[in-house]
Amino acid sequence: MAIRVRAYVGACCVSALVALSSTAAAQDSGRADEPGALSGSPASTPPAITPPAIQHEQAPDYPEEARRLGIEGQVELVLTIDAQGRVQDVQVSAAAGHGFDESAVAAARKLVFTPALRGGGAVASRITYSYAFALPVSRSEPAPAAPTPAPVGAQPAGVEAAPAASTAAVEGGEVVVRSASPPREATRRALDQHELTVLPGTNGDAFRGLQSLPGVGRTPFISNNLIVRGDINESVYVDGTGIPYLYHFGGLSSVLPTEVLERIDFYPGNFSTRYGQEIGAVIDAHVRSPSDDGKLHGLAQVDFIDARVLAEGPVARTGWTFLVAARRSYFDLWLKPLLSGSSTALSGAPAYYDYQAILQRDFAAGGSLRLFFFGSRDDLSLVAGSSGADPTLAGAASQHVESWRIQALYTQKLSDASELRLTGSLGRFQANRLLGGESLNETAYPVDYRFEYRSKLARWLRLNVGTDSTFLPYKADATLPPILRLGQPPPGPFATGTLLTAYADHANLDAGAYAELEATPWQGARLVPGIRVDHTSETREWDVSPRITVRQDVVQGPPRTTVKAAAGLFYQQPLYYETNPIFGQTGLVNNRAAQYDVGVEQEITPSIEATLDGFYKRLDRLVVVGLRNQGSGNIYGLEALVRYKADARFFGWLSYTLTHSDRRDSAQGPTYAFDFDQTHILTAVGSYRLGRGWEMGARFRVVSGNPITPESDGYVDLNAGVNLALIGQPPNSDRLPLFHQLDVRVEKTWTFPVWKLRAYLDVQNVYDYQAAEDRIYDYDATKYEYAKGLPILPSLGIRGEI
Amino acid sequence: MRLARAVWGFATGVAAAVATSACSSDNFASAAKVDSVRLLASQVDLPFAREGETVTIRVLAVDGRASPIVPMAIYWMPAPCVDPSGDDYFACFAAYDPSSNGARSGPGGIPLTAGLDLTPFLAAGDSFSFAMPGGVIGSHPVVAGTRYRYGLAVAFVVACAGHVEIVRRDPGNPQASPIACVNAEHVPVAPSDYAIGFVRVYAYESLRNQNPVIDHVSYGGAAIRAPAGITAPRCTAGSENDCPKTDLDAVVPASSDEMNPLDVDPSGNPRREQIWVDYYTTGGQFGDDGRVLYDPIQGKLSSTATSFQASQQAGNATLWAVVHDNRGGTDWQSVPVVTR
Repeated sequence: MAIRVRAYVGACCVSALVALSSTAAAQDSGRADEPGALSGSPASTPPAITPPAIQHEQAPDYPEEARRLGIEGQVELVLTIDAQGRVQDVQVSAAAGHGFDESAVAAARKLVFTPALRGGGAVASRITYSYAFALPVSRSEPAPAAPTPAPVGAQPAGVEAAPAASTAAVEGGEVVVRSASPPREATRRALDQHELTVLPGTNGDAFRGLQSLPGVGRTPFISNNLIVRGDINESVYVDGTGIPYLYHFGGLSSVLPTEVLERIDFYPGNFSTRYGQEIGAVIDAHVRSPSDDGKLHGLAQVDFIDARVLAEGPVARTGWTFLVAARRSYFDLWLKPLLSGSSTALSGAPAYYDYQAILQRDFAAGGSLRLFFFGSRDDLSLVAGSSGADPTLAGAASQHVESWRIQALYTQKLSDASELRLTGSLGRFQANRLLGGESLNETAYPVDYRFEYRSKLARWLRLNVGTDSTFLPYKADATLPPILRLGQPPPGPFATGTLLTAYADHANLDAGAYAELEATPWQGARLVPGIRVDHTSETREWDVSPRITVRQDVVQGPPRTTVKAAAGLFYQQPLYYETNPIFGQTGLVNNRAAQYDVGVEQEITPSIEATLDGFYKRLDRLVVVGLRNQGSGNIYGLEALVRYKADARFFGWLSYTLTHSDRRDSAQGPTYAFDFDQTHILTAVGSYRLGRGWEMGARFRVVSGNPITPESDGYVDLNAGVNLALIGQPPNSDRLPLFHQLDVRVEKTWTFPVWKLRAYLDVQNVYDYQAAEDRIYDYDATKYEYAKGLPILPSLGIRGEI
Repeated sequence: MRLARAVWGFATGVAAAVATSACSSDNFASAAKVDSVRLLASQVDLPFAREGETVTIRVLAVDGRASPIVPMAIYWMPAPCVDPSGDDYFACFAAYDPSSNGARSGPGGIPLTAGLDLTPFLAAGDSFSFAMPGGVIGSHPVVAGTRYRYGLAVAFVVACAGHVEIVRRDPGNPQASPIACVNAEHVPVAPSDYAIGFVRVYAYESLRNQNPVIDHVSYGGAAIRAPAGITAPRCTAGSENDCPKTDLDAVVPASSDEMNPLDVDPSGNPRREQIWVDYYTTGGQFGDDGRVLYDPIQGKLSSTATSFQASQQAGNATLWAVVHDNRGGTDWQSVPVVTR
């Protein structure tokens, strides 16, 4: 049984950071005619008043009407707060219309304060409070723009699966509500930080939470890829900087902990022209700002999988804020028992590490600079016995993967209508792997930058232009067998086959530029045409990628009805080893995809929305081992989603994805199912706050089994003494059994004056379903059974927050 | 960054090493249990031959069936397949396809007639010799990434309780066999009644490889003396898993662990061979069916013994220890096992 214990301090302390005007608070709370006024206090020498401070807040929704019309506004409120810190009354003192007032009042009613204090006792109070609603100039820019105050950085790590939904920053009693830009993509999903934190079955890992979204398939055990719309191609960015991998070894945890994230932009397809070199999906994680309330905050977490520390706060009197965090796994504690009954022995300590450090400063002229240093490391070392299947999979096996990056992100608001954003990074990536007599060593020093300029040309028209580039010098050496293509019968055990040796000392320079318009030419319409040009040094190829997204509100609502469509071309360079003259092929060009989306969004109630999205992706010029770019494929499907948006009590959704994904190695070859062609994906998620700090949630998934290639009795390789199965053709002609799994989570929160204590139980695979992950054949492939996935996996955690 | 997209592909290989060792099924009969017609090993007298040299292959074929009706026989395809495309053994099969180029005969002059008993045209017995063709190295395409040019000859052997016939292959599967072991009614026999194997013999201009040598097999820490073998009391425990276990080890001297110029480290220095042992028996069972003896990096491993549990039935059995290196070198010893 996995025991998960967490101590969590101060990551979500927006409430504690509010610095309300003490003058106003003192004046308001001193009124003798207010409930709870201190009637016994001498009028001439009133005791010192401590103003109320926010304990809990929820960002208002940006009114849909105002968002579509591109309107901004500010609402002034007067709040009456009782001696328990609850908001008793909300009055609008300065209205803004367009739905702003209703949204502000609704949000203010959910505020919870630490009550004002006079002479050590809690008293009722009245304060002024304002919400400023602003449309961001940059969709992905988390920092607010002038003239609103600089943001308070310790806002909740708003994690979402799309361009930003509402986020809040608080200062001086004012909340800036920053709406998402109107959608630039045909399909987008959004999850807030709370949803991802309490999503059952994920242990609060934001990236693993993405696997519950429509269009995202089930990732098999010990896999490190997301399966999105029948494809495993995806690029992972951190604020626009590409990172080499998303998960630590085995997919147990992502390389960036949820606590340092503000949100995740997830584009399953037809993404903006600001992203290039990708034919699948894009994941762009945005790092949050450190706390800048003038206080130090800390986090310490220990659980069965890993231990973590985090600290953040101001760098005294410098205007800078900082955040540092680190994590170390306990991978070895459960792997050792797993291997104790086998002939495999651990010779080292398998573990992963990751670390993050942020320095940030905002400048008066609308500029902001953030330095972010982050890295990760994975180690695994063991000695395996003879496998009986391939002696190469025996003997010493080890893996060391390490990477770090330092990134600078600078944003500057140039005017009310324009701003620029510049990101640069450099880093190091190293991987050393050894498996029997095979080895692979790589070292790379990636340097990249990304620049974007955004400007509002007219009330109905914005222009986004940008460039990005990656310079990648690397060295690699490899002693490996030739790479097989899918379905190719194995030539024999690697142990007795021919090993190839290759050295590389090379550098790639890839660059791209794009321009994109965001037009709202008539009511309810939104057109986003764009074009991107990329140059890839490895293939010496120029690629031009036109893309367009169109949205139209056919019913303004409420309830609103929107139809949408998108189309575009996408290119992706071959993997680095595919162009290696030893292991790969020469003369390759970039892989290509043409993507098409159509869909409809139907608002049913203010809390419930349904969406239906259809997609088609035509893949061609795919690199195939030995056949250059002869590969092709077709992916199409439907995604249906009915979602109850998160409110104070409940969030949940029901999604269903129907997908078909096939591949063909050449025009003469057979068409076969893609490795992770999961025809049906049904996900139901719900979480309910029961009151008194209790919250209970569940997730249920039903997913088609992955395709597999049948095997039968074949030949004996007498050089190695092993049987080689006869591999069925075409590949993936059979399928694993249906997968289904129930995960539940129960959580209890105790709230104290200055801190919170949270305990939770997250149970994966509640009814211990023995999911089939693969077929295992006996030595001569005359019998098989299924390799089973993870059993029931309870995780108990405790978390404290200050 | 495309550089690291393959990072975890290799990691999956490492995971597979773990998984195959830790997650293999207990429901399957062990590969070490010999209860059918099996080809267990082959030994080439010149694992790395030179052009023109005569090469002799000896095969360890065992009929482990309890009461065979048709005896097992060993047949060799009369001519080795030279330099098949991509070094793939199955690239040799097309030459035996009856529809191949309209040819009436295949390699070695065997008739390409489906349904015809081929055994008169095949070499029989547990050994087979051929001359490594001249020009086999020169005719082999240069393989980028290899340090030495080489040629390849592939010999095919069939252990069959029946006779061998040409069969029509599945045209969509290049791996499909052109021959089958069939019974008198021309029906393919069950998998337990035949095995088809192949042996690769490499030709190099200068490289040699010596077969590893088993100095002795030890049982309970003591060398097993031929021809006495092992005598063990019959296990009377309720389950075979509860039977007493005794250490069994194949002792291979360090002189067998040769340098392997084909496998180099990042500095270009050759590593040593990998040597492992596989165990087989007609009675009893092993703790591990195989053990690594020498690792290319770590050299001789400190723990190499497996365990052996005698059968629950009294009687005679045989145990084989087959040692391989990763360049095609092999040696084996058979050990009589008497369970009383």
